[in-house]
Amino acid sequence: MPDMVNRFKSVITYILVLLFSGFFFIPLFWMVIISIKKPIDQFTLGFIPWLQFEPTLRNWEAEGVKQAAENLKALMNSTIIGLGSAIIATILGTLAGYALARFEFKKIKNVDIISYFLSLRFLPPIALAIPYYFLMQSIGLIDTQLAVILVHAAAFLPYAVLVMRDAFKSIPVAMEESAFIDGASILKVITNIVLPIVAPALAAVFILTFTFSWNEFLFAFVLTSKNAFTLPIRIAESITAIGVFFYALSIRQLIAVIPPIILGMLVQKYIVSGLTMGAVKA
Amino acid sequence: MAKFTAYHSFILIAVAYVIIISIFPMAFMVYGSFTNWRLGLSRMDWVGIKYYTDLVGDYRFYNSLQVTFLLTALAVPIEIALGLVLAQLMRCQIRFRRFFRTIFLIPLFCAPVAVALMGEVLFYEGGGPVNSVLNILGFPSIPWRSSPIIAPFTVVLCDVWMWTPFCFLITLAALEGIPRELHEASIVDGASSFQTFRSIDLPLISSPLITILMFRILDTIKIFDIPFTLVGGGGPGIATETMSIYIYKVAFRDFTLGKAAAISLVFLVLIAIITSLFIKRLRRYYA
Amino acid sequence: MSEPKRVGRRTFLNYAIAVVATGVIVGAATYFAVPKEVTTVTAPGTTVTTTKTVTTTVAGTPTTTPPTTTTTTPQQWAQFPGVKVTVAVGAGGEQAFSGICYHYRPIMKQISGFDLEVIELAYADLPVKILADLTTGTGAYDMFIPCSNLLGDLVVPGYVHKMSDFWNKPGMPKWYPENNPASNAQCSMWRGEYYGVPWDNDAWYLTWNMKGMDAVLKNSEKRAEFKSKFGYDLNPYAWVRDKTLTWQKVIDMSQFFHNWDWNGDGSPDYGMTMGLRTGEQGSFWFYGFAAPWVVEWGPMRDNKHNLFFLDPETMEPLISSKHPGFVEAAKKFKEITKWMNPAVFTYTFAETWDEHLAKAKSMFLYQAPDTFSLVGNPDKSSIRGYLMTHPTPGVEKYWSMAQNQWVEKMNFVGNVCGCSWHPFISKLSKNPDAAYFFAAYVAQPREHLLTAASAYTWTGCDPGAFTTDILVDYGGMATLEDFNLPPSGSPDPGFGKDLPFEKQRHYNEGDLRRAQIAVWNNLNAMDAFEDYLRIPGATAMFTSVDTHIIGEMLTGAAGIKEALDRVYKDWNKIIDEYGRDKLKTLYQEMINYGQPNTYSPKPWKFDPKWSVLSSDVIF
Repeated sequence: MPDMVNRFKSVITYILVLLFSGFFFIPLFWMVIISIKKPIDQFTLGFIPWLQFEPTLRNWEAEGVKQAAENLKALMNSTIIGLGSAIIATILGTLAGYALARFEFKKIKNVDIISYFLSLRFLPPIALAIPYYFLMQSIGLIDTQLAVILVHAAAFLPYAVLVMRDAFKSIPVAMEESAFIDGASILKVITNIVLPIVAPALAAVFILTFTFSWNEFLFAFVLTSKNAFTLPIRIAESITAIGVFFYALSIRQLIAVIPPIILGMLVQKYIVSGLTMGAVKA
Repeated sequence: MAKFTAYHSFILIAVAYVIIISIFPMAFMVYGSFTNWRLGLSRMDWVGIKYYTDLVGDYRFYNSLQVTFLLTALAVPIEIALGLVLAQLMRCQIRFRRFFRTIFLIPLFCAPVAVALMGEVLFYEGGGPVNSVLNILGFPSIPWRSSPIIAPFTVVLCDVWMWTPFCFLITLAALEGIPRELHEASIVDGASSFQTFRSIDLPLISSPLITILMFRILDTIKIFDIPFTLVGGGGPGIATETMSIYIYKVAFRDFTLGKAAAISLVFLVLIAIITSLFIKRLRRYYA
Repeated sequence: MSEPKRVGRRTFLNYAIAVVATGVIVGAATYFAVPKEVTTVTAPGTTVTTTKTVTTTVAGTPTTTPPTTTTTTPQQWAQFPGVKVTVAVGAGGEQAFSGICYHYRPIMKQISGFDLEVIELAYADLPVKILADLTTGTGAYDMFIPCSNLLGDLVVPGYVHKMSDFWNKPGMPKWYPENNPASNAQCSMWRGEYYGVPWDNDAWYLTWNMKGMDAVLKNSEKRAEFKSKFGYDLNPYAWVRDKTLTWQKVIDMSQFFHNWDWNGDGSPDYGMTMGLRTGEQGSFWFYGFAAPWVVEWGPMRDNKHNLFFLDPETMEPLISSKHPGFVEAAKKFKEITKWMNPAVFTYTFAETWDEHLAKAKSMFLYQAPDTFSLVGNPDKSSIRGYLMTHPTPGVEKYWSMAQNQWVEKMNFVGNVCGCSWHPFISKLSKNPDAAYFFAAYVAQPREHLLTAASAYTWTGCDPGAFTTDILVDYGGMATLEDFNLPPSGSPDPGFGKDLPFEKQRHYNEGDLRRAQIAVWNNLNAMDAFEDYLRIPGATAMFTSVDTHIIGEMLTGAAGIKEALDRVYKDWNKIIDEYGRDKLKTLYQEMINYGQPNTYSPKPWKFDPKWSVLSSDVIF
């Protein structure tokens, strides 16, 4: 009896897993299908090439060759901006997180500092976008990658601070204390002793910040026009005055989604463990 | 003494960075909300609290509050619950676990704009895949995007699709951090797996759950990309016009930047009030 | 330990997949990277003969005389080596107006040496980015191609150049303002000066599927069914001929064709279709649709006649629940949506074309003239040769502001609704001459005809901005040969997919003639004409109509009177924000207040040979 119940349970489990996998995977699959469909077939239902519709590589040609310059530029901009903001956010977040984890501030309590960081997430980005446009314009940074990097780093810094703080908290202080006693400076302690232990968290923060910056639309849209536009802006450009060009969209979306997916797959292990260091108080 | 200054400087760098980046925009916005600033005209004259008082009778303002609240109240619990369910599934002994886990993570890497546009294709009511499948199964076509009643649910669906993986990820890691012995002990005691889950796992992962709950609420309140792209800027009509979309429209369609600034500040205050409900819990957790 | 090994294998797999994928992509790319034939550039030596057999109304005469000398020697083009011109244009990929830019980019480089950088922006963001750029003095764009309703916001604060600053400069392409009909010219003119180069001519037209319609007309059972249901005979072509096709008849016909399979594809079809998605160009539908109930012709431009938008004395918006004409129009507008696919509230242009042209599932379409050139393309349409076109239908009775009562007379009102996209040149540009060169080049007679005929790609730039685009038979200067068609009456040679684009036949002769007759009728033969609103703030006003009427009223989120009043309130707010008196002066100038009305109707055109496909469908 227990055996049958177990079999039943595992069958249900498999079914559920497959259903959810389908749920998450099918939209992307549909994008691939659309990218090889003729525009007139955009809204039809066939999804088996050659059997249900005539596939064509014309869309890939249009995006990959004719519009390659713009797409490559967006790819490059997205990469630079993503890396830049991830680096800044990670470094600043690690420093602040360490300080918050190890030190009790007297004047302003730790918890207030954390609340301050969190409060930065309260304001709808759209509200900040307008002043940022004028700010960047007045200091001459409008439509540059740097402008977007600065803004993105500031936007994701709170996450970095909180996650790194959690990670640091989960490490026993003993090792650092012995290093301090031995006379090492703070930075040395951090880089040589602590960082290697929280490396997964570090990687997680870096990857997630990179991905959020990669996918961010509003600030990138407002702050750039012809030089520093990113992939989400290219994707949004497939919304034309006469309708959505789904064939262009699908290809740009695939271009935009593949690097993070590959990156994510490579460091999957780290993201999972890194995000919750110290989360479970056993 | 040296330690003291170093810690302070660490924090200081991060805080200073954020303050510099945000102080000017905030000040600008506060000032702007009291002026008749318009896009396309280079004038900024003081008009006092005109835009604030306008909001009191503004049906679109109340509508946007309502829509935002509805979307958040629906999407966030579903995301977290589904994330939990998926995490639990992943802990069972199934083959190709890694493979499925990778698939579950796909939505995390998609830009919200793209997600909304993918939704547009899939939910196309003139014969798109979703409705066709429904028809084959014998159900009538659902007006996913053209009905003011159903459109919010479509937005919720897309948002859930995007963010469940995030919740799944965090929950899974938290669950995997629970020592095995606790489970074995409870099974020996005769508890069913559901009871184990409820009494042992849940309490232990309550902290990360609260954290994601907070993050997701704060993020979903500001949701913009998906309802904006999916149903034509908060449509049909204003059925999915969230706070962010309303501000965007006032700023970039009506070109009334002063009013947009005023609305933003009002929303900021509202969100701060709502989140203060969490602060207490926060203080306990972070102290 | 098995852990590192498993990770290693996974990583290897990931890398392998990435490499294979890259290989496939690169392989396919190189396969297509075979350079296409170099675009044949219009030889600089093209002689332009300007025998003016123009019979249409002359454009508002510009205050500076353009050059009238015809050149018979090869033209020396002005050179701009090393210059880069940035143009902001509505997103359209390889097609639409961005397509025009991409097409001419290599040509500009070849004959004048400058680079054209194309920035595509989504429709709704175009005015925002342009205004932000101009207001902050950024100057990222040398020229832009927005909707014409932005004219006021661009010209009044002095952000854009006058065209007369450029057209006498040596080496500039010549275009002919006198061939630009007044009703279209208003979209790029202010106070008698051109501030943009006319490219597009938009108006809203009714089209229907003649295959389906004729099949029903030939079926006496179906005709009897119509008669018993609505009390009069189904006779659409006669209504077109006699200028009696009204919205009520269209509504009845839409109801008649709704929800049964008249095109033989196995599923029920629809009566009418429109692109009623919020946040797009929805407001144009209302403007075109409602005009017949509201606009009354008068010999003078005063405050009681020829008006649609605002009262020129008080700047009071006319759109409100106090105006019985608008109330009735809104009611009918809501009524006709009953006979459409419920999904139309998510439709932009593309979906309506899919429904009306490709799948042929809706009998009627009321939309911009892009339909004309799309219907002939087998990649986009299945009803080439079967498109009937008619200007905006009229009404049986309209509200007269002068008499403050309903008048029981047929009223047809022409419009230039729609974007009528055309280029403006920013005063912040460092290379305005090069920008003007590009804008003027496309407006040359031959180039413009090719563009309007969608010769090189579907452009959405519709014929009518210049009489040189219209056939000689209908008051223009073009011939069938210009559209790559064989002599009149020959069988349709088809689109010609395998031909080089300059030889493709985007129009079928019948579709072309019917379309051009409708264009002529719309611009010249209607009882009255609707203004094009282009004062500062027009864009914001259009958005208000879009939100309330298209968005809230049609979907049922607000009642008819409520929606109209919301528009009224919003417009008043916008007018006050800009300054009521200031706007009043501008609006009065825009409509030539106090002057005689330059529009007076000419005889209606109908071609019995081409407007019907066979004699047994007209009774």
